[in-house]
Order: sequence, then C-alpha cells, then structure tokens
Amino acid sequence: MTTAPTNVITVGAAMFGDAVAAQAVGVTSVDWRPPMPGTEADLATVLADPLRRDANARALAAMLGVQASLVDVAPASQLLGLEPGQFLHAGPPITWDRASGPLRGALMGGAALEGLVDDPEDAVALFESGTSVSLDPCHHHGAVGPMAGVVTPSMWMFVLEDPATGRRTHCSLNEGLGKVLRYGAYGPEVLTRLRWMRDVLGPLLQTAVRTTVQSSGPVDVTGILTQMLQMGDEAHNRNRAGTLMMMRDLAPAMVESGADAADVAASLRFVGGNDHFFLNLAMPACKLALDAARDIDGSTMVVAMARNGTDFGIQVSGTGDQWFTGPAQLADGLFLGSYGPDDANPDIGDSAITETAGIGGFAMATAPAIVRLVGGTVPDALATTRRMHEITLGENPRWSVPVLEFQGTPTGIDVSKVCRTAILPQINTGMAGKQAGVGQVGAGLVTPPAEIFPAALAALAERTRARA
Amino acid sequence: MSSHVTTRPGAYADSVRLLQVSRTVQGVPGVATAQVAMATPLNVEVLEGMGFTLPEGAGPNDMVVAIQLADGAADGALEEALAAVDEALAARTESGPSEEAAPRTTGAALRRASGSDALVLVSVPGPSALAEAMDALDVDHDVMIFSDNVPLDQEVALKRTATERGLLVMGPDCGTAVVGGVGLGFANATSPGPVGIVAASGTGCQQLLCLLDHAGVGVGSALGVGGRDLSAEVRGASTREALRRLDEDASVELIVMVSKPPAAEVAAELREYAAGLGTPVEFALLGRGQPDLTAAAEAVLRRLGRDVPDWPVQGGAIASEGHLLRGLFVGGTLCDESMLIATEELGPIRSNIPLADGLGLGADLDAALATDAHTMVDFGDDALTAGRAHPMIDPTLRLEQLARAAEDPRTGVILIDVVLGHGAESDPAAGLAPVIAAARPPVIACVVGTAADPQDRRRQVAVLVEAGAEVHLSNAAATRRAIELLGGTR
Amino acid sequence: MTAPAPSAVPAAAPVRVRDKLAARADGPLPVVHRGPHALYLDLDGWSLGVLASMATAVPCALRLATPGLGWLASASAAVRDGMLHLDGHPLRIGRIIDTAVPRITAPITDPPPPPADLVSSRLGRGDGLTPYGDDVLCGWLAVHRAAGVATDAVDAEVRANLGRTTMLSGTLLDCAMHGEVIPEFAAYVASLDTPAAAARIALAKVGHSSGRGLLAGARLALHRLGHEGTTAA
Repeated sequence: MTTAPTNVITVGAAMFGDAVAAQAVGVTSVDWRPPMPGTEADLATVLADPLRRDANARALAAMLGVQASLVDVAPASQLLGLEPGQFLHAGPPITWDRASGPLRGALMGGAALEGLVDDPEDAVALFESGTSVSLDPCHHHGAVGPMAGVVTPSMWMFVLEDPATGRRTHCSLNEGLGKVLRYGAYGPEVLTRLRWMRDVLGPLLQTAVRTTVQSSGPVDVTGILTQMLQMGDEAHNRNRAGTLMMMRDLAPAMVESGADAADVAASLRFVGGNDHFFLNLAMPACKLALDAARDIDGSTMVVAMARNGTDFGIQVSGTGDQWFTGPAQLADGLFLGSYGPDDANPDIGDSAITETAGIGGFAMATAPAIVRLVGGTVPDALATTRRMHEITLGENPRWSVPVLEFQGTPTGIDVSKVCRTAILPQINTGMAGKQAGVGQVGAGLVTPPAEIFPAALAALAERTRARA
Repeated sequence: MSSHVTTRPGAYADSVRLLQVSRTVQGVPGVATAQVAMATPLNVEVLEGMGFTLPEGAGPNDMVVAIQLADGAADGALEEALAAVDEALAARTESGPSEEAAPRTTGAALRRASGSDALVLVSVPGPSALAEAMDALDVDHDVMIFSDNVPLDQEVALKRTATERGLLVMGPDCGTAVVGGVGLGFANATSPGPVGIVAASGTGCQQLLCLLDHAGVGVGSALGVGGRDLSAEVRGASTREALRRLDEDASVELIVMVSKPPAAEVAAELREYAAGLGTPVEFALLGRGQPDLTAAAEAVLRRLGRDVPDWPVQGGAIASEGHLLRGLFVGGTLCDESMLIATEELGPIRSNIPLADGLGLGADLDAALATDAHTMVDFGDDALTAGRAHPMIDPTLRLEQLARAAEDPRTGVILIDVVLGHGAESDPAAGLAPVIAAARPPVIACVVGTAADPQDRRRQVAVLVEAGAEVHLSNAAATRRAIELLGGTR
Repeated sequence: MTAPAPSAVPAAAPVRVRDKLAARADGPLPVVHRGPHALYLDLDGWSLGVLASMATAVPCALRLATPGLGWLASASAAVRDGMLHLDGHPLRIGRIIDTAVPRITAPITDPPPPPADLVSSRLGRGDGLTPYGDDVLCGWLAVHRAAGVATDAVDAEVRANLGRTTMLSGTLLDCAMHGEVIPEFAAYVASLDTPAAAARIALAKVGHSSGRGLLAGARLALHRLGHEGTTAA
C-alpha cells in the first residue's frame, strides 16, 4: 500500500523534518552526529553483513534465555582443576611485569594463602622469575573475579548452572569491603579472613547449598536479580537486597547443617554484614547468560568487558576469543577517608560483566543512590539508563526498571552502535589503591577506552569481507 | 589541628550519599578533613585510621560526623562545618522534568516508535547513510535516502536486503517522493489522483507532478528510486518494488515511470516486469530520440482521456547580442532534458554532467564560463554539493555564476530552472530577481511548482516576470524558447 | 508594542474542506462540539471538524499532527483570508488528504430497487453525535459510490430529511454521497477482493458503534450490487 505515514523519522538535515511537519505529519528527529573517526567504511561493511541481523537476534535471545541457578560451592582446585602455582586474575591476559599494584598485591596475598611463600613480600621474586607460577584470566576458565579477581586452588567458589544446557560458571566468595585481597591488600588480617572463609564459610555454604538444592531445588539467582533490581540494587555497586535475599534462601540450611553454632552465627553475621556478598553471584550469573551468546558468526554483540588494572578488554560474539584492549581508565567518583585521585589505580575487575549483561551502570535508573558517586542527580540516573538503550540491541523483559514504566534493562551492547554514537558503556565500579596492599580507596563511574570499539569493529569488518 | 566527633543515633543515609556529604564538608574553609559515615566496623577502622577517636558503643545504626579542623581555622569553622553537614544531608536536588533525550540513531527512534508505520528519511552525509537506512530495514520499515555520495556497493547491499524483506529503499540520491500525499525531500504540493509515479529522477518527477497538476490530474504517490537504480549494477531493485506497491494501490489507474534510459538489459527486464502488472505503465525515459518530459505528461493525459492544456508562459523576453546559450540548473534531470533538446538544434553542449564523453567541464565553474561553447551546468551534481547544501536550499553559488554569465558579452540567452515545493528555499525569486533585472541577456526561467506549494508559484512567477524574465512551466518549452531567442546561431 | 502573531499550525485537509474554507467569507464560526481530540464547528450548516491525530479521521475535517487539542484555550474559531483560525492561530493546509472510497466492480449494474423504508427507518435513529442508523446509511451510500452506481432517489430523500439528525451526522451523510469516507472504511473496501479480515475487524472497532454501522450498511449495499467472493465482508 502507499498510504500516508502517520510519522516520519528524519535523520540529517532538519529542514526536511520541518517540511514534513508543515504537512501535519508527526516528525521524530534523530540527533545524529558523525560516528567515531575513521569508522564509516567498517560500519557500512558490518551493517551490510547479511548475517548480522539474525546473528544479533540469536545472540540476544540466547543470552536472555539463560536462567542461572546456584547449584554448588567448592574449592577452585576441584572445580577448575587449579594446581598450586596457578593463579587466575580479572580482565584480559597480563604478565607480572605489566601488572598493576592491586593485582600484584592480590597475587602476593594469594601466594601466601597457598603456602607458596610465608611472607607475601617474598612472592615478588616468585612472580618475577615466573618459573613455578602461571597467570591466566578467569574468563578463560569459565569464571569471573571482582577487582583483582585472583583465584587460587584453595579458594571456594560459587557454581552457577544453566539447567537447560548444564553449562556452568564460577566465582569466588566475596570478602567484604575495605582491606581485602581483591582490592590488593594482603596484610595478616586479609589472610586470616581468607583462611576462615576457606576453613569455615566455604564448607558451611557447600553444605547449605547442597541441602537446599536437595530439599527445595537450586537457588534461582536470575530470579533474585529480578527482585533486587526492583529494590534499589543495580547489582554492581549495590547488592544489599540481593545479599539478604540469598541469605534468606540459605540460612535455614546453614542453621540445620549441624555445624558449630558459633561458626554458623559468624558466617551469617559475615554475609549479612557484607552488602556486596551477592555481587559474586550476580557476576557469574551474568557471565553464564553472556557465554550463551558467544561465537555467533556476524554478531556485533559484546559478550565480555573486563579489566586487569592495566588493560580494559572486550570480547565480541562474532570474533571468538579475541580480546580488544586499551588502557584502563581512572574512575570519577568519591574517595574513602583522606584518599584522593592520586591514590587510585586504573579500573580493574571482571565485574563489568554486570554492565555487559545490562545491569550495574546500565540499570542506574533503578538505583538512583549510585549516581551520587559522581555528584549526579536522579534525572542523571534515568538519563544514563536511557542513554544505554542507544547502544544496546534490546531489552531484558525479566529485569525491569519500575521508574521507567517497567522498561527492561538495556541489554546486549552493540559494537556498531557504540561506534556510531560514540556513547560508551557506563560502568559503576569500586576503586583500588594503586599501591599493592592498600585496598579500596573509593568508588565511582568509569567508561572503557573508546578505541577498543573501532578495533573490534575493524575485526568484524575483516571477517565480513573474508566471508563475502 | 582539632578533631570533633559526634554521633547521631538513628540517623541514616546510604554510604554513597554519605560519601558525597563528606566531600561537601571537606570543602568548608578551615576543615582539614571530614568524614560522615555510618559506624560500621569498616568505617570505624577508616575513621580511626584518620586519627579520630570514636565514642564508646557507636554501632552500624549510628551516624558519625567526624571533622578535623586545620591549624588556625577561624572561630566558628566547626559550626560552619556542622551546618554544612546538616545542609548536605537535607539537600534534595531540584529535579526538573526528566525529559527523554532525542534518539541518537534511526534504530533508537524506531524502537521508541515501535508498532507505527513510520517512514524513515535519511539525509546524513553519504558515507554514513547506509547505517541509518539499515536501521529501518532491520525492523521492516521503508526508507528514503536523500543523501548522495553513497558508494555504489552500499546501494546494492541496501537494496538486496530490502528486496529480501519486501521493503522499499527510495534512493540513495533520491530528491523527491510523495507517499500517500506526504511530500518528502523536495516535493511539490499536489492533490490525490489516479496517477502513480516511479521516478529515478527527482526533478524529472517534480516537472511531471507540476505539469499534471496544472492539467488537473492528481498524483497520490510518487516513489523515488534514486538515479542509479536502473544501472546494470543495481538492476532496478527499487523500481520493481515501487511498481509493485503502486500496482497494489487501488486508487492508481496509471503508473508513470520517469528515468533516464536504463541499461539495455535492465530495460528489458523492467518492461517484462511491468507487463505482468494489473496497472498499465507509461514509460517516460528521457534520452536521445525519446519524448521530453512535457511530451510524456501529454501522453499521460491522453491515456487518461484528459485534455492537454496550453502550458503557461508569462512575461516576454527579447533577443539580444551574444551567441552562447548558458544554462544554469538546480535540477539534474531538467539540465539533461535541456541539453538533449538544445543538442538537436545547437550541436554539442559542454556540461559538468555531459551527454557524451569529451564534453565534460569537470567541477571547475570558471572553465564553464571561459569556454567559448554553449554550456549547461547542474549545480545539484554530487561534485558541486560535497560539503555544501543543495542549490535548492542554498542558492549562493548559482546566483554568483548567474551574475557572471550575465556579464559575459558572449552570452546570448540564459536558461534557468526554479524548483519550488516542500524542502526548497522559501523564496527563490527574491534572490534571483535583482540578478535577472541587472542582466543584459534575456533570461528564460522554468518555474517548477504548483499553486499549493509553500512558495506559491503565482507569486514567484510574478516577481520573476517583474524582474524581466520569461517564465514557463514546461522546461522543454523554456528550452525551445531559449534556442529560438538565440536566433539560429549555431 | 505589538504582540507576536500566533504561530501557524500545520494541517491537512480533504479537497472539499480546503475549497469550502477558501470560498468562505471572513467571520467567526460557532463551536458545536468540543472534545479532547476533536472540535466541530458550524460552517454554514456543514459540520467542519478539527481533529487531533488520535481522533477518528472523518472526511469533513482538518487533521492536525498533535495528539490532542489541549493547547486550545478558548477554541474561538474564525475564517480569515480563506484560512481557519483557532484562538488566532492560522491552520495552514500543507497537505491534501485523499478521502475517496476505492473503486469496486459491481456485477449488477441495474440492481433491484432499495427497500422503501431504507432511509425513513434509519435516518437519525440511534444515540450520540452520529446515530447508528446514519452510519448504516453512510456505509450503504459510500459502497454505491465505490461501485459507481447512482442512488438519486435515496440521495434526495436523505437530503430532504437531514433535519432529523445532528449536523455532524448530516455532514457525514453528505460526505458519503460524495464518496468521501474514513480511512478504515477505505481500507475495508480496498480489501474486499482479498481474503484478509484485518481491515474489516479494524473498521468494526471504530467509535462506539459507528464502525459496525458502516459495516452493516456496506454489506447491505454489497448484497444489493451482487458483489460476490467477498470473504472479507
């Protein structure tokens, strides 16, 4: 049919929109701006790729279809086959010589925890020689780690499973805030806490999770995320409701475990007192969903964003395991105590997997308190979530934002849209001290280095051309 | 240095907010450092690390206000700092209406307008046009691409995608479309009627719209396809879809296809396709040995059983000295048509869009004026619009060249087109009139427009005639008149 | 100091509406009815509508792109220089709307005479601004125009009795006799020879009962004209 359209969307010269409006037809004007420099040709190639539309639809659907369940808790040695001397870390691959302070501090603490050295300081020589130790990204082992993300064989990990496929992801247990290993602290109190988590908390959680799985089925982590997003959490820098809901689900089994009452009480107190305990469940839940979208030829969807304290890296569905990296940025935010910007390390951690999955900074509108980290306002929070819809493929119907009329969270970062709009993903993050051993110095907002998106786009374009 | 610590039992604010309050208070003159926090074990540790001593029994449900004054802080600094704490805690941001920002891509706009029949009109720079147009195709919407300088392979890719999905891509380089009575790009205001147009040429389409309008025949839809659609590379992908759409429209009694002659193999395919439609198709193919646009309009009228009117002429030009014909056009197809007609009478015409190899002028406008030959320049050609608005919007360049052509003693007649309609500049006659009035050679103008156009053709014509121009509605008639005034000078 | 001239409001209009306004002498037009999405004026006994984009697009009206008419303060209406002004804002017609009913072919060119009580039993019967009986007549008349079949006697009877119904309904009957219809009716008629039922369902949903009335009238007429194979009907 050739009937009059009720609405015309104009992109480009404003005068054409005016001319349409003068005919009493509704006009929506796109606020178009030139794409990131030098990306026009690659954008045209990638957007004209006949595989792209369906590939992205499949990637998004695969991701949205995953339901993550907590099915077990066990040591990394059992789950991932980690041997003494093997260390996992956050972000893209890195070597000791390029590692930042907090990553080094966490590795040193981890070496002491594993008994490779008595004094964490002695680990420096161990890592410098590199003969008896190895570093590998968590992401390469079906795992994610917040901040430094260091995982050693004796650390206990959550196991999340997609019941539909049996695929699993893993994440360590959250230590709390302040002077903790993941922020690069490795003092005696850090190691003491980690040993307690290894000896008391881990086994108790294992019993509780296994009992709960048997009695009432696995804990629905995706479902808790759905609820917490309506309770003021964005599941990256604010996990308060999620933590308490998880405790609600596990506490009965912990109490009935037969473990020493004092240990149970200490464990409950520890979990309940650590607002970020749930972060280490949110992260592997996000990874489980995003892994389902990996390796789809022609898809421009980002499946991982991760930082090792030196580099910020992304992986894209259509480019396999390739990392596109650039320098990690400093967060803009507020500092603890008398710390200031000079004390902060660049962005670090696998926790940007939450933003990759459409929560964290992307769900800012549902957690307006977080926007105050940068002195923002509630309208800023709403604007941030809306802005992220500009660079994403779709919405998550499960995870909705009440204040935006229950609109789903912006989901599936599209490399081509980032390059077109120059809008970078917004990440909420903690800030580690740049000196090894300091711990957390603040929290704030950060974005990836812009150049990694054109780099990923170029690789997608190259594959498109090779296929043509 | 002096430290002051107070607790506020029962007071609560979340940690993020308290971090901000702390930062505010740290900015008060005389304050060395300050921390406002809930007395959680972690915060107690931090505060003690900063050198504060906390009262016994402070717990996670108590708010601690810890302020350290700098040495030599003024009297009252503490009170000021405490007042700042209260103020910061109480502060509520004046939240204005959280209006949604405009969409940044066509895709985002379409997502907001989901479920509507929105049509997309793209006029971004050529290298970025595919991205916006593909957004429309991705969610099964038709798109018009006004942008020129779109690479040919990208046009092919867009149209291949559209064909697979049963969608219509009008363009690239589509200047004119009318969809169900809505004019898009440069389009004249016409009435609904029995004719549907498929146009590979914007100004060709406009000329036809206006001639038919003058004859009282309306055009419900005029679907543009872009100048390259009938090339061997694109093979009429959009033309086929446009023909199919008009064939499905019960109100269309006759389809007119306006184009330069297509590539030979495409022409054959197209005639075969048209022959299979239920609606008759009249081909108006502008080329050597083919009828001009006015003749095509007359053929359409006869086929509809309507009378062919006299095409209007206003004003009267008088021949003068000079032996060269200078055509200055904003419409590429009008320029082509004039060249085809003039070539028959005057021999080869030099142009930036020449009819044959060896007649090219390039984009060098000085060369066009210096050459001792009949010239016709299309100011709307890609090479002359790169980095500049189309001459239908920004007349500056043509006005300059018009003035120079008028000063050249060799110029015998000046031929121009004036294209009205939606999208075109609001009062083209105002800019042209003084130049025409000052010109020595006669000026013949073809004013392509309708009475309902925003510029009002009657008013535009009156101003041009007042300035001394002879004004036609038919470009072919205007061209023949110009040749006549040149007086057989070959 | 003079107040700035109120800005023009873009409007679209059917040809007859444009021409009626162009021919009207300057002067005020009384407001007959005012709703959130539609305003109806008395243009010398003809009901001239001004419709927001949400309103049913009756063929006797100017259409605006604004979703509502809330911006009108007093809704004072007047014609000046052939242009309708609302609250001083000129409604500039930037587009002509096609309201013509699509053509159909009718196998019976010389149909049986219409029921004697066709008009008398329906005209003005029903509630509201557009009584149901009038909607039926509109549908009946418009389908005859679509088929190109004259209904002079019926037209004359309708015209002679317009006083029995509202001004708006009378105007819509006038439009139907001119073959001018709402878009949903046009789409329905265009779909008659296709198996798709979407257009019929969409028409039936128009207004409170208007769509159903139009549909009923159309079916009466199609039956009379022997229009077969009308799956969509």
